[in-house]
Amino acid sequence: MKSPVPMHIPDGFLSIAVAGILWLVSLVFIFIALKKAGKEIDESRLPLVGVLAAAIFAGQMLNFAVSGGTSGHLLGAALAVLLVGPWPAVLIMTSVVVVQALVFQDGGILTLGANLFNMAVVGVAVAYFVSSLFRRWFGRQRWAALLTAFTAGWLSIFIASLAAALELAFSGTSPANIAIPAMGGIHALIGIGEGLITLGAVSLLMASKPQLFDQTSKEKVKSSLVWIAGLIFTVILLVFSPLASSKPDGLEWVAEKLGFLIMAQDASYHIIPDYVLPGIQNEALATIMAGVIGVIIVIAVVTLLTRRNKAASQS
Amino acid sequence: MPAGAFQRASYLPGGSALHRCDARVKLALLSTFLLTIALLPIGAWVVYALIGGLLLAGLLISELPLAVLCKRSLILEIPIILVLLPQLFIKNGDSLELAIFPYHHVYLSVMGLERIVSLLIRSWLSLQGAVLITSVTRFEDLLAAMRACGLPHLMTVIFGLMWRYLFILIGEASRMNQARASRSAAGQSGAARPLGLIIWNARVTGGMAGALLLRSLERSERIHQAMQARGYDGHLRGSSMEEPLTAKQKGLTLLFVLTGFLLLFIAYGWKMR
Amino acid sequence: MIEITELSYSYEDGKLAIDDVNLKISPGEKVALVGPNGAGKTTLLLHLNGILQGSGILRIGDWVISEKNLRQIRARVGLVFQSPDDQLFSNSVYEDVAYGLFYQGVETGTIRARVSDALNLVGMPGSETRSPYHLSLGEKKRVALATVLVMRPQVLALDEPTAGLDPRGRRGIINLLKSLEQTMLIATHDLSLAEELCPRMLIMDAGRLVFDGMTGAALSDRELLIKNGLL
Repeated sequence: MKSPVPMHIPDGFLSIAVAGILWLVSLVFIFIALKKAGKEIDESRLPLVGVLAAAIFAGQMLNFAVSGGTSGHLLGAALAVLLVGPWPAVLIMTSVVVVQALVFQDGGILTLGANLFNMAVVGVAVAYFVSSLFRRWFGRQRWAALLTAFTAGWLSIFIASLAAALELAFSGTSPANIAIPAMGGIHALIGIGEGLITLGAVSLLMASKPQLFDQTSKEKVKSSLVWIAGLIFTVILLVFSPLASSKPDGLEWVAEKLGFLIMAQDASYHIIPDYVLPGIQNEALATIMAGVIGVIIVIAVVTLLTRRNKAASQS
Repeated sequence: MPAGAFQRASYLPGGSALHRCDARVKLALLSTFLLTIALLPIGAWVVYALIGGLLLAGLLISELPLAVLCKRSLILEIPIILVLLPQLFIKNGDSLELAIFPYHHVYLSVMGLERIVSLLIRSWLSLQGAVLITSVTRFEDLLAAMRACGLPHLMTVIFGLMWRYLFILIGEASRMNQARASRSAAGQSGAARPLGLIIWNARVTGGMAGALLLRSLERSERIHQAMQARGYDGHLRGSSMEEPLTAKQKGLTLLFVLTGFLLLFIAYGWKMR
Repeated sequence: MIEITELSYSYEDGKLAIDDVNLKISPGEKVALVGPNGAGKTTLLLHLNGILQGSGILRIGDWVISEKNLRQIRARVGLVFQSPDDQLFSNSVYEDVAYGLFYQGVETGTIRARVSDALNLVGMPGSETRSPYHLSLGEKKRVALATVLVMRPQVLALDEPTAGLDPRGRRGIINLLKSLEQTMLIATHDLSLAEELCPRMLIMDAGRLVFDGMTGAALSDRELLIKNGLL
């Protein structure tokens, strides 16, 4: 069983500083979620949260064929938010990601903090941000709910992948101008699958049990922190990523000052001239070429792996 | 129940010393193992080998077959592999000359190669350490160990419920997949499907996910009723009786931590020669 | 022991699930509750321990069920659900059987002893450390019964105790129930279980109680059975 979305970072790919900081940040968010959602969950929703976590995990096994052997999968952060609100969703996704790491070894253990941050915090916050915003703009019509489902699903995956890419860049594992387009590009595509599946699920649930979606309006007041966090994450990552991508030396300068690169045992990228394609003189052009070649490699390998997956899935 | 899911779920029953070891100690061992590896410098090949030896020793103690280490290979996801490749093209240091096309040589960086190989080795070692420990520890015991280390009660209960119903629901999902597969007339050819069909497929999958969720919601209602029927009153209760660690267990953990330091010492000492 | 007066209950969507039910069950009586799917059997059982509260009066022994005494009621009425997977929600048999005792505030040493007794009673001795996921259906049904028996209830309400069991499993459950002394109300499709175990039978259809009398009489009245969807 492959992991649903190729966003789980294995051990060894993040520097200790980055991994450590994200562990702390995630723990803070999880503790806040326990406090905020704890009482409400205890009283009436305890089995709901647990069983839903299992359902979302199981839901990640449902797939749909895209071409040959590739298939699209669900992560589920957006779905969780739409069903139970942001704070319980944080706890649900935490359970999912932790069990993926501990039991199925999808994603490392030292990097678990980062994976939790990307999927259980950023993913949830962004999805919640979208759903609140759309509810304010469009009200409660059915088409609005479906649009929300799709957008929340798509954006949560996309932004989470940008966060992962930045983490890799900060750790010196990969230059920002490759990591960001690669992760962002792939997940912009994968996110479409997430959006569609979320949309399909919400559509069915609205038809069978419309009362489900009325409850979440209660959470809005208490969860402004999440709304703001979602907005901040989205804005920062959307603005920061292209910047970092085009000026990775700037990013390295910052990272170096903050000591990440040291902890990453003198990572590969110091100044742009290092990272230049042999034979090309103009630095700027070389950087752009490097980015473009990176994307081409992405596409080539995807195609290759697709063919191999097809062979595997037919056996 | 899909064999795949359970197989990948790691735990292999047995009676070895490693199996019987307290889950808290194993958790500490794993953490030490992972941290030590993470702190190692690039190119510390000898120490990498030593750690590999440690891993093998652990495997022998656990009395599990060698295949355990092959069970989960470092299946790097596409984006992660790709973001590593640029390492090959750094201009620092020595280059390896590769004649790919006539008259056109590509220069690969030796340092880059070193970094990639080091990273992959360290990642692989970390992964197998986690595989080994989770192969000899039941999830329930891991959960109890985490609880003893301070995991909040509510989180423990959520994990517990999730774990209890995980494989039941995975079974349901897998049956849904099979049911759909046996009804769909679409060919298995590798040709790319028309976009419209893909979108439709995705929505159907969404519907399946929705159905799974709906059944889960109803199930959770019944579970709640069962909890109430036995007295659940909205406040979590339950035993969290853990015996304190013995001196022997603490000593073992300390020994392991010291070994970690020793290895780091060797690695950095070697590097600074 | 159980006295129900003018009980009615409607679902959220307004549909009437139980329509003016009146009945009395004496201590130690074993009564079968039969009827087609959707007749309201499960809904009725859920009223016995206050999980659902309709209009009307429900009395268990000397207690009239109300918001204030749910704890005591639930200690006296043991409800065994249709699907044991819903009832066994912990990761070990011990935790599941001990669950009710935790909430009664029983002290740990006593809990261990009572869990062990309950498991012995249902024919699953020594299974404390097993995971419910790995039990067979018959074993799950026994453990589910243990989770309730451990609380020493005076009344047992069972929902389809033999559903899905093979003949051997079924025989095991029937023998087990025969050996217990509690007052019992058993919702079931299994007419021969009713015949073997319960001298008295209640037939429910569309929320109403349409028959309350001797099991033998009901089972020999073929027309009655067909009319109420039992045959």
